[in-house]
Amino acid sequence: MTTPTASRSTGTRATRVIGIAAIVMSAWLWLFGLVLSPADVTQGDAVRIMYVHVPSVWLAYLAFVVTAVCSVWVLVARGRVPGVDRVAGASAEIGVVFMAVTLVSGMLGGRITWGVYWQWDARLTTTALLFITYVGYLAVRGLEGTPDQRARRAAVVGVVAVA
Amino acid sequence: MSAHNSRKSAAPGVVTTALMIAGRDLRIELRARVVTNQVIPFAAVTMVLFAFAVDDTGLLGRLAPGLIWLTVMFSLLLCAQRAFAIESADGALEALRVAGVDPIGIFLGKAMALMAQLLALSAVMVVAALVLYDLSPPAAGAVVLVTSVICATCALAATGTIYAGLAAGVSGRETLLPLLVLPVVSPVLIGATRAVEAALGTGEATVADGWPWVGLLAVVAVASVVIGSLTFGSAIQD
Repeated sequence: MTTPTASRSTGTRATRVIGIAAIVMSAWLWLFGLVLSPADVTQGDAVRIMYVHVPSVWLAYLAFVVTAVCSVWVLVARGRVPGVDRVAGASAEIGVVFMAVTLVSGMLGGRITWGVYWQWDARLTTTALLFITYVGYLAVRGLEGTPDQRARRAAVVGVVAVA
Repeated sequence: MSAHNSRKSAAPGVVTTALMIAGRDLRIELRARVVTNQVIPFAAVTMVLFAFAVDDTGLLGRLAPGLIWLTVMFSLLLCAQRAFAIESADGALEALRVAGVDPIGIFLGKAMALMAQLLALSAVMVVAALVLYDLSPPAAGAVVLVTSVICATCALAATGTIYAGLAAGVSGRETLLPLLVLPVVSPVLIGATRAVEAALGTGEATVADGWPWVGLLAVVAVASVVIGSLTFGSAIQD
């Protein structure tokens, strides 16, 4: 915290409950994904990559949709909604992380199942471009300027990126 | 009240504003000759460097459309940067905004001037490719070539204007602009390359195969102009 008077943590009861639930669920997933579920008939243990790959790509796309919707909201409201802007930014960060997880896990899985790390098909290429676009989005958020200016600039990139 | 009304009626429309701004930008270019004396030579050197890197005339001929558009896209970064360097140097963009000039007019004007420069650049690059890469295009491809170049430069100019306007006057924009622009204009690179391939007859495609790609380019061009018009005001606001 920046002010000495506010020495409390930023957590609330809700975030702590969500955090504990996330730890418990992760342990549960590891148990099922890595130990209890059998290996695939054709892919063998490589199928376990899919347990990471598919959910992370869905999460990444969901995050980018949230960023896009919030960006449109910021533009329509002419930048007077700092909360929406923060959701857009946070969502883009989550999206970039999970898109990176998707690309890396997809390349590893692709190497095992197709024999190559990368294939130039439309889905892979657009996903990679989307990843770079949102890296650019985060870079725009890092530019100098007032928070309002930053919100509007980022929103423009968020909208153009989707289109 | 009457003074207010007369001032309002004297305010130029979007098209007039756009033409005035485009005219001013092109006049600045005519006097400073930055695109003519710096960007076009840069693009020409890039075309020559591609030839050094590939070092096979047959292969160069097949790659020519892609190399032309890669060069135009790299030059777009320089031209778009330049288009807003002249704005932010003396706070001209801020003055325009404070004076209440319609941001859509500013956007269209800047994009038109940028498109005119890119058109000239593309024409030089196509001629350079014909000469350097030993191409013999079919005459029937001329229409596809011209329409695809017009649509592609329009899309590139609009996208470049949005992002360069967004980053105008911000430190670190030189390195940021390529990161923002290149992924977004990649559909233009694909469409324009396929269309010009068909027009120049460098691939297996016939001239008629180029039209669907020209259609794609036209859609991208219209979409980028519309999105730019809607968002540019927010992008340049303080």
